[in-house]
Amino acid sequence: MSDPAMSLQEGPPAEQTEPAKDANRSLWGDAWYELKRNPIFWVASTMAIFVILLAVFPFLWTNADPSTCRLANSREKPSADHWFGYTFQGCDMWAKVVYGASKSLAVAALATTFTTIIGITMGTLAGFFPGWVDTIISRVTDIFFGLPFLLGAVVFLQLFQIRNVWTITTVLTLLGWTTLTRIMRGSVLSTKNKDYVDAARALGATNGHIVFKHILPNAIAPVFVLSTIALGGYIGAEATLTFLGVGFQQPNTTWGLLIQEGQPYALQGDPHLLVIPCAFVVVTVLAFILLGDALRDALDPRNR
Amino acid sequence: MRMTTPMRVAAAAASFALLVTACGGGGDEGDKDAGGGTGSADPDNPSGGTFSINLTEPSFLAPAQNCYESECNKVLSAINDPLVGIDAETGELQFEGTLAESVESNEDKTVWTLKLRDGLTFHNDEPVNADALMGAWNYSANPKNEMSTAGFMTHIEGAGEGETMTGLKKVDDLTVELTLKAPFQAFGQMMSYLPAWAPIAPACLEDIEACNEAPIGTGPYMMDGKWNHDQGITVTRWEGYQGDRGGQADSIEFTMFADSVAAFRGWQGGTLDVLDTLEPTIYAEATGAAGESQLETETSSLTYMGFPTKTAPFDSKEYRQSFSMAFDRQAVIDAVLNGQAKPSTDIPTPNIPGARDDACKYCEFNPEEAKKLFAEAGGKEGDTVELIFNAGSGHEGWVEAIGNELKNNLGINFTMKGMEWAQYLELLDAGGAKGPFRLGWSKDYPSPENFLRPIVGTGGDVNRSEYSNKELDDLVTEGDAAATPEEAQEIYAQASDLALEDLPLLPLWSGIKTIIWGENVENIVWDPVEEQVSLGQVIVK
Amino acid sequence: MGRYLARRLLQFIPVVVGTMFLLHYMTMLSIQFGGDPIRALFGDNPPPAQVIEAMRARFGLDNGCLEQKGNPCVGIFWDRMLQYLQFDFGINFRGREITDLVGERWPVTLRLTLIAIIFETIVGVILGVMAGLRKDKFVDNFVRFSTTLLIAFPTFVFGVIIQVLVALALGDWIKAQDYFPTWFKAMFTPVFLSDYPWLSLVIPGLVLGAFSLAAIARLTRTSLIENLRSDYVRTARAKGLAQRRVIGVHTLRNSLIPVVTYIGIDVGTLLGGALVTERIFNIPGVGGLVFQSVTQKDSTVVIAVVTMLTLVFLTANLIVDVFYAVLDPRIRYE
Repeated sequence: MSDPAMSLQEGPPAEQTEPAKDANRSLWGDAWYELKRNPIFWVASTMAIFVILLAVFPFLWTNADPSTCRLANSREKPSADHWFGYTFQGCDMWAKVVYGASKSLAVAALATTFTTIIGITMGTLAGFFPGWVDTIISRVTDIFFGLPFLLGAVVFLQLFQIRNVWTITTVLTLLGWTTLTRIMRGSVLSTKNKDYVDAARALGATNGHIVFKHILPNAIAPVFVLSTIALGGYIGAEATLTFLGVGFQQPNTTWGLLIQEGQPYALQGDPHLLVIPCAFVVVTVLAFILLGDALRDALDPRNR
Repeated sequence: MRMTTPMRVAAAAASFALLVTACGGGGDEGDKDAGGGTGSADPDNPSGGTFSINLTEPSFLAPAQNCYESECNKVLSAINDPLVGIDAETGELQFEGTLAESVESNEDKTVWTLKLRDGLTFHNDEPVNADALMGAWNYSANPKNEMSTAGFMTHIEGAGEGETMTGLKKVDDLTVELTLKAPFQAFGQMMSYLPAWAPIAPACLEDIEACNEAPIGTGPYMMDGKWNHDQGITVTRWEGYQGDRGGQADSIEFTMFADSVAAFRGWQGGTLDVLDTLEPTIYAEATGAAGESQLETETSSLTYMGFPTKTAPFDSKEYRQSFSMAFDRQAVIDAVLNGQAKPSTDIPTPNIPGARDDACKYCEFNPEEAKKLFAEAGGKEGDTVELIFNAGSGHEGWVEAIGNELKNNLGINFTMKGMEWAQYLELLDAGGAKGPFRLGWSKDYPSPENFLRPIVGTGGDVNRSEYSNKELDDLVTEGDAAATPEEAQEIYAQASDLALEDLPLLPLWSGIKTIIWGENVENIVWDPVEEQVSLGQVIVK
Repeated sequence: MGRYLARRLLQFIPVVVGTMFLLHYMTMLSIQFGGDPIRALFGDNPPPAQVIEAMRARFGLDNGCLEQKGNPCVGIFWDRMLQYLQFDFGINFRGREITDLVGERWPVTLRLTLIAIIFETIVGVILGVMAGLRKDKFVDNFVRFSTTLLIAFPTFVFGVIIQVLVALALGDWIKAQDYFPTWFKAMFTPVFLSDYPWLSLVIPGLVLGAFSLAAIARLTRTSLIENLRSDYVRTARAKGLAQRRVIGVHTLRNSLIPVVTYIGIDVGTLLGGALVTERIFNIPGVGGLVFQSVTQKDSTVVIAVVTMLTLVFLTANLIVDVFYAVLDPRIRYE
């Protein structure tokens, strides 16, 4: 059994062979050290940075205008001078993908961030403080769970009338915060009873100390996993909202719209209409999931 | 009949709307593109067997008076004989395979007399007589019953004022006399819309809900079992049928699909024999797979966009005309609709007698002329136009295509506003559209008047452009009173010309429908009057 | 535990009422902002105004509060609650009893959800365990990559691809071979067949469960990796226990808490939210009913059906919470 006293220390035990570092290295310093040595982290970061650059500086990547579309070019396949071909409406596919990145990523990133923050906060509160706090938070979660995704989406988007990044993000957040909350709560419940927590309490640690230094780093792993999955899911959710008629509308440029437009024609002989936007989505999702994995590995206190 | 496309309601019509149904028996010659039949449909020697055709879940089956869409009509026209029929070519009443023997009116068209054939019964052997008719019509006219086709009854005196109409009189067991509130020349033709005028069996009136699950009709097929909601409806041959519309197959299965792409997959998998709705996205795959077993036919469905003629800049005739010339309809049809439409050349669709194939000169693609007109009207590059339509019915593609073309050829910017059906209707009802809005229409009966009056007549049922032209109205009324159909068509054409010059609407295209079928069936014939596959003629191999 | 259960069951009531009110408010808002649903039933040309008025009155939609945007229409809510207390769940716009509608669709949805859950749990946990045990080796990377694909493709893309490639293309080949039994061939149908209520739902069930399978596999993997580093595992191994026993008896139980939570959530999501899958495979289930009634703004149906779904959710989550205590005896409830 490990010595409970050891868990309270931040630094590595003396007998490890790492080069001499400050004995009180922080959690994040440790994490960074781990990350640097993980090749997957570098691969995933490159992919993620590439996609983010696409989103933030689209004009660096293409001269074509995504909204100049000629029916005569409709569905043209990729060729030597037009690597990605044309979309259904005859717009330049590469331009559409590049400019589409920003809205799709923005929605996914914002929604993930908000739901994760809410989920961690509420879940920890519910898991850590039994009694009234848990009851109220859990029951409110239950109420929101009952909301069908479509109904919520339709009603909110009708209320807001406009379909832009903020309204769609709000809808996705309002409908999605509950899952992470429940997962976090379960995780905190099981961590709270571990021995090192008891030990910490016995040594007089305050609630805040226990939560931030012991519970959170140990309980957060499933939330991380789900968050990174959620990011990918939100890109797909944006596309599904469009498919159901309540998401972004033409002639906007988003990945979801491209996928929804291209999907029926993929099996009709124009696979590039679907494969190209999907490929970008897959790369983005993969990048963030791998990043999430690497980060979780690095933050795992048991790695030391 | 108007074509509207909320999820499942495929058609709706006003109180003046007529939907033509005629007995399917003699419909061969009306179909220009007759395809798919080498077997002989010998009425005395039916082929037997069973086949399946696609259907979308209907709203109601009974009483028939509550059926105001093509879904329930598909089933009802198999299990019911029409009261009165119409000749596809001339538009005149005919009585082959109908319940009625004759329909006559007095000089000023205010009193109509209908005589039923003798000896007809319902599927449950109750007699088809004047009581059954009057019971049905009174039920429909009573607002407490909330019947969708109640509007058809409003011509009759006393409609809407209680349980019975004062204008209905039973002359004898087989004859009914109807007195109208005002003279209406086309009343007889209106009676050809099967569901609105069908008789109701007394057993049905006693228990409408049970009847809805297993309707009792008068036609060659009867319900087999109950309505299997969202899954299917089966009808089977009625042995006691005395009429002329006997069917080839022993039974028909209506298999329900909520999504027409799923219907196609079902056809591919062998679950469906006949598929009459092809989504443009799978059109190429479907027609490729069907090979010889397909037929293409024109339909009377017109797609167009209304202009808000009282709102600048659309209050200028030249502005509207410039829009109409600024895009190539055929290119949009080919790219987005897979060629399943025909660019408009007149307001009535090509299969209406009297429609012309060269009347709409502003429907031709001419970008230079368009730019000229646009400038004349005061249009500038960078103007923004809002294209409004009902979302979720597959219109996004062509609306965007037209928007892009307008942008490329006139230099304007466009936004698209896809609205939910209820909101869209409210916007149109209130006259609040700021840009062109998508509308649809399809015939109730084969006359140009059926397009002109509702769409461009003053106060027309779907005249949402607020267009009003007294000269046009007078011409249409003159055409109504013409002595022969040909004369009428000439006068209607003049009215149409007026509208095509002022262009309160943007005529887009008329419909083309492709029907495919599988290996188990043959002799698929299109009934142009009912605008559906002639179910009684389908032969099961 | 008994007192805990009793308290939780009592808490069902405020939650259900709370959900119903939220749903009610949202449907009222959607009518206030989105237009009159009765009018919209009739498309371009409505029957005479009297008929529409009569219908509106029948469905309780002639209330003045529907003209004011934002009004929560408490009166309508109160009437509905009283109805429910008398077990009258109302009728839809077409006059059909909601209990009939739901009664027709529940069995289909239950079968579909059951298939999806069994598939995603078994395959998901197995894949997660395999990946967790061999971290960073080929199996792990394979699982991580394939689960990413499942997450990245939205259902409406993935489902159609499976429908065409597996159910149709592969299905045609299988049907042409003689040595496959009939029941096996029946699984390869692109649309739901009422003759084969279970078999024709297998492929749709797999599609439905695909995203959750990815999530479960990842959750299991991560959980397992963490727990494998725990001290008690080191002890067990030091004691000489077989790997299988270490994993099966000790580690797996502890790793399953997030998985169980996720499945509890998933049950509810799948029951009411399978509408894309149902549309693609033409399955007459509850998801399609919810979709139709939301788009038609048929509030009676929406509230009734979703309330029933909420009850299922609550029960599933209660079971999950109780299960926590089974999986990990250190979790206690007072």
